[in-house]
Amino acid sequence: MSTVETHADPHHHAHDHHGPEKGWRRWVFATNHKDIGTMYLLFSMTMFFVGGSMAMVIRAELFQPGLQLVNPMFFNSMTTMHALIMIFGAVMPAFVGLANWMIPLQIGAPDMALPRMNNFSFWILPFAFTLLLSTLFVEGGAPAAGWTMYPPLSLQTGTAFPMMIFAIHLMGASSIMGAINVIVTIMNMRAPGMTLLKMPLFTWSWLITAYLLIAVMPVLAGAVTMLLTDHFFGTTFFSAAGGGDPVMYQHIFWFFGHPEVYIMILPAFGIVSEIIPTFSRKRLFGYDAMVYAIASIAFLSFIVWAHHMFTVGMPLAGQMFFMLATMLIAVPTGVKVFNWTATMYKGSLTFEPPMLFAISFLFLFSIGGFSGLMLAIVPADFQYHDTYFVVAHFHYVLVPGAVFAIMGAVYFWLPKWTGHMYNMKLAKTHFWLSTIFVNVLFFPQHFLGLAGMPRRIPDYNTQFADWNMVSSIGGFGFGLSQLLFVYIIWKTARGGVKATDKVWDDGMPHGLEWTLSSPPPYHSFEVAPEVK
Amino acid sequence: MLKILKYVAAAIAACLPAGAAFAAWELNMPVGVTELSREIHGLHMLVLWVCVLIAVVVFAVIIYSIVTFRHSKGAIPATFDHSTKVEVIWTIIPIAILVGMAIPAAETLIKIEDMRDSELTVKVTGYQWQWHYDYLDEGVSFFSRLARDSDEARQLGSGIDPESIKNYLLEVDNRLVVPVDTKVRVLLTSGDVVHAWWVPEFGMKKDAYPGFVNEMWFRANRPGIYRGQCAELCGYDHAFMPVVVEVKTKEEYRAWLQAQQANGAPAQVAAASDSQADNAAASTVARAE
Amino acid sequence: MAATALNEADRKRRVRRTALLLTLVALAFYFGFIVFSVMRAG
Repeated sequence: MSTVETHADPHHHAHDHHGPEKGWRRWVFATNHKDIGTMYLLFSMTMFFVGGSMAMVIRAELFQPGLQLVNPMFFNSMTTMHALIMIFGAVMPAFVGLANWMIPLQIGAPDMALPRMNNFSFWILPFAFTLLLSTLFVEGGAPAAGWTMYPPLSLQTGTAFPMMIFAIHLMGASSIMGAINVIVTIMNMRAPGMTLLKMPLFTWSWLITAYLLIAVMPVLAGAVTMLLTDHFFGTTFFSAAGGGDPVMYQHIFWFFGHPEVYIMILPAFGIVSEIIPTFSRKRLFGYDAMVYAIASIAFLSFIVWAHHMFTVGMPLAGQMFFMLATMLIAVPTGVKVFNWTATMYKGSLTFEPPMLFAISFLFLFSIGGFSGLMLAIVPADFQYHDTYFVVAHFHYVLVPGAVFAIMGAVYFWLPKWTGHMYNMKLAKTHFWLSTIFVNVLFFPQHFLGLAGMPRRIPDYNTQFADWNMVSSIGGFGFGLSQLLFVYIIWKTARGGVKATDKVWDDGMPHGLEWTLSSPPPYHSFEVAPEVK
Repeated sequence: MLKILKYVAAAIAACLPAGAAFAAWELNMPVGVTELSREIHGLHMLVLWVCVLIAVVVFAVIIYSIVTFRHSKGAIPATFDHSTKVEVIWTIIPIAILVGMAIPAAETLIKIEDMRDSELTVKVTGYQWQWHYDYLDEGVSFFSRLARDSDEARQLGSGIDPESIKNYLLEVDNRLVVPVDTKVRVLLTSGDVVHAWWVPEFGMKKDAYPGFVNEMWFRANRPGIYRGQCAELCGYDHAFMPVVVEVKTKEEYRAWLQAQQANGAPAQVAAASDSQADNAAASTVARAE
Repeated sequence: MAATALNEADRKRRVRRTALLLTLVALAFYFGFIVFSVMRAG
């Protein structure tokens, strides 16, 4: 019995053989994975600029010592909102958008398994972020206690407090539904012959990421629910006065928070593992090891959370355990970097924009990884903790790490999505501007942190003035460069040189998505392809 | 390439003689004035150098591949896609390196956590936005808040140039005074939200929680004035509650202590007018005498 | 034809079962952590 015939059932699919609906109904009632993926990506781009403009406010205030532009409360709101928006509004939806577009194409499925839930999980997001952003205009201002929302400080938030918590619940619900959809799709919708260990690495990384999401987003929801009851219903989960403990909030938060970090980087690993072999014209080195490395990073992410809180006063044994477990993550991460390097070694390399972003990722993510290793050393962490060294570290893994991978993915698949090639010269300009400015922006922050500048401060001693000015200049440059990215995407969506089915050199890219036309038909793989 | 150069620059800077701690363009962690801060600095440099070394090797291979195996130069791709031997090697070597770093780190950590035999105990309480110091066995206690000249300059649109303020944002009205070469135990707690007490030259920071007491210790080997800041976001004026510790010789400390005990509360007034006068360390003692 | 329809129904059932199971896992984490905190604080 062959399952190839499954989708040929005329009764079932007779009604969706026509193209997309016309007008707004196509988007509001979208159930097509490509449409929903596009909406996710556009939403993410919007939030990238909203969160980015907040970063510009931060860097403008820090341009020189003294307070010139904003009061400290608004500054704290900016750091808090910048983080929440970039994490939950920009990076995560971008990966979900890529998942929506690419997973069905990569596993040869006609669509996501739960298309109506897919629609719901997207449309929650605009409401969640409207709610979150509207806190900027309520009494007491937007949340200003940091994205980590540590009590008791976060309990001092004004009217914004319940709005922030409801917004986070909505984002969490959206992420969980997205994750359920990804797992269900991958587990049930693969084309015949597509065994798990034949899946492309992007799909693999998303399968593992989705499990992480399902395990930890509820934990965040639980933590903020307890904050809510502490604030309004007289519970004392996190207050010593009633037998609670503020440190317990931090444990719960980081039990979510550390896997969350990997939620934002594992799909990036997947993307880089697609791009590097393509432009090296060589198979990925150590495919199995890459899968196992992702899985072991995901597992380790659950037992290292307390390395975010070495200064809370943990027992010695606890500090030792979390130090060693954290250092252990360097091993599978190292394996990944070595395997990417070995893929390029003795390949036949070309340097189109996706490859440029992937190579830049390789260098700069490694630097973020090295500072992560340094932060794992508990005694040294007592110095690094809550300084700009930490800010530099996580921005290195998130911006030239996650964000560069997303940009690489867009440049990799954009011709497939739109059917048009983009302007290579402009895209390369965008790459070089981004790579140079991102280093000008974040590298000096290592120095600031080591010299003793705490994070989350709007004003600083004059000894920190010079590097802050350099960093701000890098920030403005990086922010402006991204306008070019929007322009390139907009131009490509509207027209351009026709892309071939393979898009890149013949024979380079592997995977089912390249067997389809560019752009792919509105309903693809209605007859499941056979994978050998 | 750029990043490697920067790493090297940072590393070279780290080798320059200490003492330029407050110069601008500062690149590295201070060596500090306690045995713990020196060990921590040593660990930091060790790990940094290991990372630089690994980075040089890995980045060299990547750069070599980029330069050599170019499609435009007619490179033919090889067909290998795994090698169990190589993969085992690059799993085991990192583990060995990690163990090599973990052992000295663990040793230092054990020292840090050894609170025994302290000679002086100070209870530090964080408030929004000031510190309170309580010498538990000496009956001396006082608040410590941002110096008035910094406070005026830091107001939004004050028009005062921060460069014109000495130790901008890093000066207080009443400094914590401790004797040199003495193991000082710091008990940390908070009156409201979470704060963190940090002096970079002492190598340590620790959080202060309402309703709980944390402890840490330091033993400064050199008299002087050491400055740090609150290191846990604590609200509106988080950036404006510095920590300033003055390490005095044992005799000077005793004199200071006696003056404080004799005066009782007025200590604040004396020191406040002091810091306005010239911020000099010795003048507090002079006035007390 | 009959076999195909059966397959489709079977796949639908599996999809629904996986989704339900994952939802339960998520709820278990949510309530599990709250219950754990209640016990710790009490």
